Amino acid sequence: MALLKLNNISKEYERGGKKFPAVNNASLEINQGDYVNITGRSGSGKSTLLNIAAGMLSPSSGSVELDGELLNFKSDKELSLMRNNKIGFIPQGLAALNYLSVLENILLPFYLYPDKNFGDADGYARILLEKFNIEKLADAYPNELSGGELRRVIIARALINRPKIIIADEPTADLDLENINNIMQIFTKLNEQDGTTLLIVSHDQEALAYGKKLFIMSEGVLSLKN
Amino acid sequence: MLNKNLNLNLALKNIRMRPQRNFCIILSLLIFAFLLFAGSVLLTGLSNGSQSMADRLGADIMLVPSGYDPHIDSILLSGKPSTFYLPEDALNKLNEINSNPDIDIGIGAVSPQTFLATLNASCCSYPVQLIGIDYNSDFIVKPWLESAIHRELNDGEIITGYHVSGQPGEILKFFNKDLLIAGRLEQTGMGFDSAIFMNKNTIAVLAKEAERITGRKISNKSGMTSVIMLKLKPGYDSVVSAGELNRQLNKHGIYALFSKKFVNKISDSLSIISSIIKFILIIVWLFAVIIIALLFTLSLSERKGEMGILRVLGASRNKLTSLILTESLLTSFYGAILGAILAAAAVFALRPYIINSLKMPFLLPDIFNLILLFISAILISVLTGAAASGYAAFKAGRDDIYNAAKNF
Repeated sequence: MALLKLNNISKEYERGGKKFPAVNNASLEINQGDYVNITGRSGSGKSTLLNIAAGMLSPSSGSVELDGELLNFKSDKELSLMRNNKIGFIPQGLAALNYLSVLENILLPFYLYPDKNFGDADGYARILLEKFNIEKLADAYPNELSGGELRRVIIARALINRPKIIIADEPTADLDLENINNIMQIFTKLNEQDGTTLLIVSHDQEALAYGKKLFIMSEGVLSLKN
Repeated sequence: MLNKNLNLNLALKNIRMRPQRNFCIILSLLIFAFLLFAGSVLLTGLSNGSQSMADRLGADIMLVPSGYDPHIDSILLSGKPSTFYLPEDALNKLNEINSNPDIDIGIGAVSPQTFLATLNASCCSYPVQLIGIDYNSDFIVKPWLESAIHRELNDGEIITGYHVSGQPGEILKFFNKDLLIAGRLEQTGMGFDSAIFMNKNTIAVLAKEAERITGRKISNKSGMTSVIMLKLKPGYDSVVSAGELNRQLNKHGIYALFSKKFVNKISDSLSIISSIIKFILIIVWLFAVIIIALLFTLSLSERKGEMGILRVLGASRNKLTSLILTESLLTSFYGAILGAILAAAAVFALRPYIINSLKMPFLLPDIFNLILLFISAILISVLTGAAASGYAAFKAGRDDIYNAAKNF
């Protein structure tokens, strides 16, 4: 059974009184342990598709299944809970709360819906910090970090609730080559060593060298490249 | 560090990170809570004082020397010492009217009182209003004097008003006479709080000594009567009876005034002050609501990215709304508690000046009611803050995640 299944997804927007398809009849199946990249030009509909896959945007037509559950018609509360504990979403940009320390940012998804059976969340957050070589930054604040360090914090945050899938939107945007490679190696390790399922959208050619499957998005149409 | 009280954790950290914006919200509610608590205490104090005066002014009509009605105002309202006396035949004139079958004014009880102002001199402990009552006829002061000591006052004994310094058992000296404090009265909110009470024998002795010290004749042969208190029989109108008494007695230098006049005058003033305070409160409340609503709307518009992060991480719409409302409640609480504490300090520190400038009876609410007013002021202020930010909080929770997320 596919972990994430997008069935004939379309999303239409209106511009200047005319409708245009941001995503046009896209279908995608991602199994446990997959590492899928989607690339495409700016405005090709990649981010829209990713947001639909993460239950943050409703498709105009088509359906999304995550871990055997249909996301269509779920309430905001159900979708939010699912996003919190089944999806580790890495948004575009340096999306961290500046008034929380690095450790607190990482723990934020856990404390949104604390789970008694989870175990030591604080300890697990510190393990993630060590794993990404940022343990010394636990008490630092996001505005004290470099772009590469903050990206690693955001990846650690996405992993804190041990999600079924990591969905990342342009995780290497605005990074230099060295940092791009560092981040992509982290994703590769997560996939190869921990079996983490990954769906990554990127237009960085360097980033696309990593991953098992590559899809191309062009004018809303999704197609498999390899 | 974050814990299970995430709403409170985030709100506290957010407030600390944005001191300027939160300062404006806190200041708005501080001013509102200050005025709400101080205004409520002032109004309740004046209302209590007015009620106390209505309760304690057991006389329906007071006879005073013509032209001295402002003096009785001062004595009753502020306790400002004053000495004045009715003509010596005032009681006889009243008895003549009372026994005249053609004049029906319904006098039920009559009791004279004697006022004597002490001096700011070595003969006296301090300047104060002395009031001598006739124990045989008194129907006004005696009941609450007796409740203070549970017996009649002996010659040479006094009972002090609430604000007069001196404790029971101590000796005070007036016109070179030592007087034993037999008890203290409860607070009345009136001029009686600054007066000293004694029986008519004691005040007569003091008056004689006062004449000797000052060299001025202040009493007459038949004794000294400053005011005659009258209680009417049921069914008689004090305004009508006072009018008739004035027709009969004005030519003899006696003026009748009805007690309701004081209460009515105070009620009128109270209603004006109450309207002013309410008006100011409504204006400040409106300003606070507008300022807080604007600040929260602006702030949440700037923080769309932050809201987007929280939504992406799994915060539901309702959770986001509750996070913002917690922040608003907390900010409002800071302002409200600071405002109420400052108001409490101001009321206690400035109370004597306020009472003096208002020239109205003022009786501070008891501790239970003060606490109740304090909590109510905080609660209303906090709810004002929460309500003002409510729309912005609701709207932020309804923003599309995809759009909010674009603001990272």
